[in-house]
Amino acid sequence: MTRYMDMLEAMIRWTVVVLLAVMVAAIGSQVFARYLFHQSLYWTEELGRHVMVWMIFLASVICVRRGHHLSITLIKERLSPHKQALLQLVGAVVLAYFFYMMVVHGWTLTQKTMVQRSSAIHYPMGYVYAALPVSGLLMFIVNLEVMIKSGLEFFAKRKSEAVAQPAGTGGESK
Amino acid sequence: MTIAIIFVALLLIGVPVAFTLGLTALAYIALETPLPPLVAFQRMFTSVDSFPFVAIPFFMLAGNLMGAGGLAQRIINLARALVGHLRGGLANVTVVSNMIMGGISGSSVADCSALGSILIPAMQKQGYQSRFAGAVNATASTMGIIIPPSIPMILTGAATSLSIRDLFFGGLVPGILIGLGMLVITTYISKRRDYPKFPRATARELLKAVWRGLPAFIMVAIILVGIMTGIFTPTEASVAAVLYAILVGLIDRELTWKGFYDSMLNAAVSSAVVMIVISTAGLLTWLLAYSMIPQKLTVELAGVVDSPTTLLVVLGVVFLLVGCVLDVSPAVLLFGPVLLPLVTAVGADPIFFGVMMVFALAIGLITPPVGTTMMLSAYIAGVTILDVAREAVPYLLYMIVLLYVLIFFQGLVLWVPNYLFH
Repeated sequence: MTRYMDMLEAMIRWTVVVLLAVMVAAIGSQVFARYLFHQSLYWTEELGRHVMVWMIFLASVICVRRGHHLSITLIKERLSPHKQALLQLVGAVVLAYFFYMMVVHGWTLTQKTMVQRSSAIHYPMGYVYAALPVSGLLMFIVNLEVMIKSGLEFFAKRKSEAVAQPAGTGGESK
Repeated sequence: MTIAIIFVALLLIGVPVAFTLGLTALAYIALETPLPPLVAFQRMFTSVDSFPFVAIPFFMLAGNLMGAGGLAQRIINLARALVGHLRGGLANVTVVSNMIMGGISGSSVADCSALGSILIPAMQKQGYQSRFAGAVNATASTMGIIIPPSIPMILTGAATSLSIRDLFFGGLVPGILIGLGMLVITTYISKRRDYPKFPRATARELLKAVWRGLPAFIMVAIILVGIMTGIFTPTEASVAAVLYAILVGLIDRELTWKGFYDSMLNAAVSSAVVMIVISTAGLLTWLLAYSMIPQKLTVELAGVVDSPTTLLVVLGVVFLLVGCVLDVSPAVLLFGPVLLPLVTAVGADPIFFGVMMVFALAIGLITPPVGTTMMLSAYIAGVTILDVAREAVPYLLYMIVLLYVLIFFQGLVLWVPNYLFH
């Protein structure tokens, strides 16, 4: 499982890097066009903005998998690894609900906005709104991995705890 | 009430702040409004679909590219030539490096990691206590969001329609004052603990460091002068900074493909961390506005609080407390639009309010339990958050005093933007 998830993450990594490069190219050419050629390009702001939407929602998938999203770890740090796994599991279940909602409602929004055109380039806004269900689905998937791992840890630890040793010192947080 | 409990409970079990805000908003919609949940996701989308925010990944990228292209090291060398001869040389170098870096990057976390990963180990090697090294870097990096450019000020401006340019330059004097005060405190502490210093740089060495640091100054000039003169909007300045950083990296042949890829990925991921919070905080702010909370608050409090100064003094305390538990970005997005009507009703200056809010919340970067640069510095230094927090107390007190000095002498903030733009 981990291997497939690593492949998925590598693909997302490359995609967000390419998207950021597209943003730099779009807004960069806007600046060049305006100051060197005294022309304003009509498509750059809109493209940069919409590519950014895709980039951040996709990069957020990496953050969910790696635990990069800002969170309050003060309580978690003080618990034993076993209880940490439990908290992680509960958190992942709650997140699964949010990502599920994101897919369902994001998909409805995408369908509804397919008829609505972007103001400058006139592509369907649904192409941009699709970032919601797509990233929602990907976050749901990577969150499932987190859920399974912490679940396994929680139930495995419970067996070994009968044998075992003092509570952990608490993990490093970042 | 139920909603507040959901919010606090989710935060405490460690659900990321961004999704806690989103789930709280979903609960609010379901329990208190007739709206369909679809609206929540539409608002999440529109909150981030905004052109000024494009500057956020770009300023992050510019900062990362500077690190990868060797500019960060040059800034450090320059700072060393300037203040290395003071007692506690390297700690003072950390302060000055963060000041210069603050004029380029708009993110304290980016400065904290770019400079801290070099300077904290260097201080440890010279015999500084790890917790002190962490505290100096954590505090100095708060200047990153106060000295222009600043991502939280972009957020404040976009959420409240205040001029981002005015907010930027309002932060200039307060940011410099933090730096100067920190130099005094650091030297004093270092004298008492007998920390090492470097030999004073000769004129020749100083010139060489200035020359080598020149690309960094040009970068500051592109951003600050570009925005100041109106040649660039903040977003255009951010992309100019990116292109310039790539150019310098290429000319110096220090920027490798790997460094470039890593910088891009890092910028994408760190902007996602900020922007997902923006999307759900934007949703919640919209809901508060939908329920007329800002108007109700204004009506309730405008009668009670009559003078602008009283209001700002109270808000200072509120922001300091909020800063302990919330990161700067969600806090400015939630409180900026909610409080601005009250601020204008009472007659306080809106630009001052914006700058003061960011300043007070920046202090929250070094207060436990949630202080992003404190956590990051503690991680780099290999000590606990509380170690760093304890060691940062003198700096913390200075910044709180400075906050109130600014409230009573608002000219310190407003002079620069008024002089430049009005």
